Amino acid sequence: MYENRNLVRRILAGETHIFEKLVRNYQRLVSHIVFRMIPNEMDREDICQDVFIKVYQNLSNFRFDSKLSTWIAKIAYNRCVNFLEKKKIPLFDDISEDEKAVERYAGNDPCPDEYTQARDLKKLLQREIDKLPIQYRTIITLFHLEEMNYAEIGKITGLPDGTVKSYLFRARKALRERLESKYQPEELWK
Amino acid sequence: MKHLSDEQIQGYLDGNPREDIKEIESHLETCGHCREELERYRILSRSLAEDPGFELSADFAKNVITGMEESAAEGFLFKVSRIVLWMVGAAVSLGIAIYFSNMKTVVEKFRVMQAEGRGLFESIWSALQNLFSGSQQSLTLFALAGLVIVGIALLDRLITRFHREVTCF
Repeated sequence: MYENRNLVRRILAGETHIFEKLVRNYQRLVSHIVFRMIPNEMDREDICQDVFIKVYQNLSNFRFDSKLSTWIAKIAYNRCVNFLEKKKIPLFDDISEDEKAVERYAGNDPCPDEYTQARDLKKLLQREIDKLPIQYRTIITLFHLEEMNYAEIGKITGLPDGTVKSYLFRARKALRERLESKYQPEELWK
Repeated sequence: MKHLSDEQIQGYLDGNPREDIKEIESHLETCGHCREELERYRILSRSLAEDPGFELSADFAKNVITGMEESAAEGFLFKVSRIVLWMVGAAVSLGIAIYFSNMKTVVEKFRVMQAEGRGLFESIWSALQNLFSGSQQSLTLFALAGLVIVGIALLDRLITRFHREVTCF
């Protein structure tokens, strides 16, 4: 916390080169949010860059009433939401509809490649996470990768804590169901 | 035996404080099915916490700094363009005012007053009283000035909107 205060104070005092350090400290967090929320690979890095420019422009408004990471994550989330709204990509599809769409598109059976990867749960999960509604993906990412609690995720997404918890449970359950419908339990849970 | 609900298992795994924590733990001790469910969620959670390998370019941080400088230049250009716009608007409004007013009469009156040896303030005030003659001209003038102001405001809004789209977050 003290280190962040010092970092922010120095950037605001005009030491803009120090901002590069802040970018390095938080680029993992921002990339996790942006890469999970933005489907088009070509747009991702530009959006990450936009997020940090916004962070710089608004740094003087940051009052340390939350963690710096939460504040930066909120900016990243809002930037992605704006982008998705412009592209008319829904943030939240009904999961059952989404599942139907996935089944219509790819069928319910894994492709031969997936069979060979069946032992790599991480790879299978990445594939299945990408098929979840964007809101679910974001919450899973913030909770598991960034180790944020429901309240912090609520601050970032603007959702009540109870909704965050409910979406997280539903997302994990959906992932399990999708995986278990394609693979044998002994292949997955070992 | 009634098994634990999905919510109870996931909540327990997340370490959520629950009133029924002792019940859950004692159930888990005796129920293989629920222990298996818990274990599957535990494996799933562990895999979800593994780094997905999203990679930004190696010079990302440097690119951000370059982007910041470009953004600052754009911001300066934006401010300058707004100032220029309002100055042009003010000049156009003034031009319209001069065109529709009796400026010649005003200048003549001012010269006469000065020749008569009146004070500067009195000369200006008296000359300005001749600025508009007839209510018809005044109405035209106000209507045109109003249109110019609305036009400037709309242009200003367009520039602001364009700027927001360029630097929208």
